[in-house]
Amino acid sequence: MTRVGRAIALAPALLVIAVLFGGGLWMAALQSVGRLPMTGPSTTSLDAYRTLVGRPELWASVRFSLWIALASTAVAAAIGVGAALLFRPRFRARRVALALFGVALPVPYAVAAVLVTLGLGQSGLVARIGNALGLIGSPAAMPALTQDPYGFGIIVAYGWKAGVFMAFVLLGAMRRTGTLAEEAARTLGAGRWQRLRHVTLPALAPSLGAGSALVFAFAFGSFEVPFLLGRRLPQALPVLAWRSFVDIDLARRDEAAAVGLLIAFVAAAVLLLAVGGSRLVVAHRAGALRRAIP
Amino acid sequence: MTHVRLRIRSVSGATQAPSRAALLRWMVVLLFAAPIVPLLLWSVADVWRWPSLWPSTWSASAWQSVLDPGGRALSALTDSLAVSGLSALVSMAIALPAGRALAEPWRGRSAVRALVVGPALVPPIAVAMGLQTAFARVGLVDTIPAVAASHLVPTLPYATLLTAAAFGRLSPAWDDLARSLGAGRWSRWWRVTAPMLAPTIGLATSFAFLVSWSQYLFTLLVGGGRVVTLPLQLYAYVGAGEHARAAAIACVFIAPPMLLLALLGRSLAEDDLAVGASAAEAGG
Repeated sequence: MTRVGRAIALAPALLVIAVLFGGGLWMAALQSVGRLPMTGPSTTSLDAYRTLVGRPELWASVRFSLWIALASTAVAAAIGVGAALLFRPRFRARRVALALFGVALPVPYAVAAVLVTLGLGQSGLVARIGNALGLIGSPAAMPALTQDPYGFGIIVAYGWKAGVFMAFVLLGAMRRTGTLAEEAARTLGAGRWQRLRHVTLPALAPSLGAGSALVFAFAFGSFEVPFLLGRRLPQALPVLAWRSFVDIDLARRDEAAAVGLLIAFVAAAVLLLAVGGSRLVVAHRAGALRRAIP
Repeated sequence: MTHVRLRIRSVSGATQAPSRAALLRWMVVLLFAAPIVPLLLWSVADVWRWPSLWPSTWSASAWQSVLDPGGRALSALTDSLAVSGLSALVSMAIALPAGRALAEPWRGRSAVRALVVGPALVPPIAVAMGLQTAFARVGLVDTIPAVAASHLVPTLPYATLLTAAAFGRLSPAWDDLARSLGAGRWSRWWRVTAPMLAPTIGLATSFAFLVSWSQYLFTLLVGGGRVVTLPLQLYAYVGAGEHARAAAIACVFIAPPMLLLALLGRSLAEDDLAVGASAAEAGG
């Protein structure tokens, strides 16, 4: 392809991204500074941001969303590493086991949230099993795991799907790296934990880091899971943004746009940091390798 | 003596350790697959009161309501099919040339690639609110084309990446061979390149469709309550406490992604699986 041909081939895609993604962000930015008022004259001011910073609601949401995202990422990383180690060796019916384990992968998040409601709700299946075992007398005695102040149900929904996602990402990474380094460590006398800590995990670190950044950005900014499983206070940031956007008080749309931009900014920063971090690690390792091999 | 001991140890290691690992493996499999079972049970439950572990009477009424010609579930299904079909087709039309350009190495390619992928990874709420405002100003809001257009934001990146992977795997040797045998430009495209691309193009189209299929927020904001796709109707049923109907519509909703993964599970190339997994992840 010539240079001009390439430019022509890429033009529609870049145009769509500029108009829909760039344009959407631009409209949100204009709205957040008061340039698109629903009523009254257009102004340019940081009023929406000023009002927001003064709202304790916002800070509760920031804390809650950070907590959900961090906890979900930690849970997903732990599940991913554990399951990848467990499912890595050849064993009988491995294909069937992986297909069943991976059932969460094609399930949309909206359905995952519904499953958590059916399973962990106060009259859900877990509560019923507790009742059959004589642990829970009535639905009211079941500890609140959905619409709870700690976002337990939300973390379960993210942990289930993202944990399986991480496991497949790591299994792929393991297949690419192979077992040579681990076998070498074994012949050099390294024990099971030493091999895991000094050989397997460092080899997985780039994939684990990239996967964690994706899960964090997603859990921090996605709407439908905390929308169904969260409660009014504290509410996740995207839910706060949406509620402000559809508030009867049309002036609150400016604040909604500001919160939306804040979410996009934090998620993008985390993703960019992860990319930068992985480049640093790669450069560092390449440098170490160059020094080791004269 | 030592020799014998070693042999015994290796034999016992081969019989005991795997069986414990196997037990753990299947327990984990069961734990992660189990959440899907209540969905199937609820969809055919008639009366299922606390605290019974099993529905006391069964009924097909939830499924009948899903198939009811004038019902909300069927209209949600047609809205979903229209929106996702439209956004998959449009994203593929755009992704085919873009993917071809991104498959070749050139200076600045990785920056353009990052620019193409970015929109799928940044949380959509700000973009969705901005598009709602913009579409409202030009009178396009609450329509299926507007919702489909907003879905391009997450679908186009995956369609482009998968198309680029397809072109990248294409060996120029086949094209050269056909040229040396005297094939013209068009016949090389239709008889050599296109058939080799077809499977991955099908895959890219399916993923674009599925990423759009599971969108919630874009539809909620840009659809303005008029375009009600399957996930929106699902939440409406859950909100109304209609568990059986919610379960039945959820089954319809998860059927296409499940089917695709079952069909493609074996044949997916490794890098496609990685992109596909993140599409399934980020797409919701």
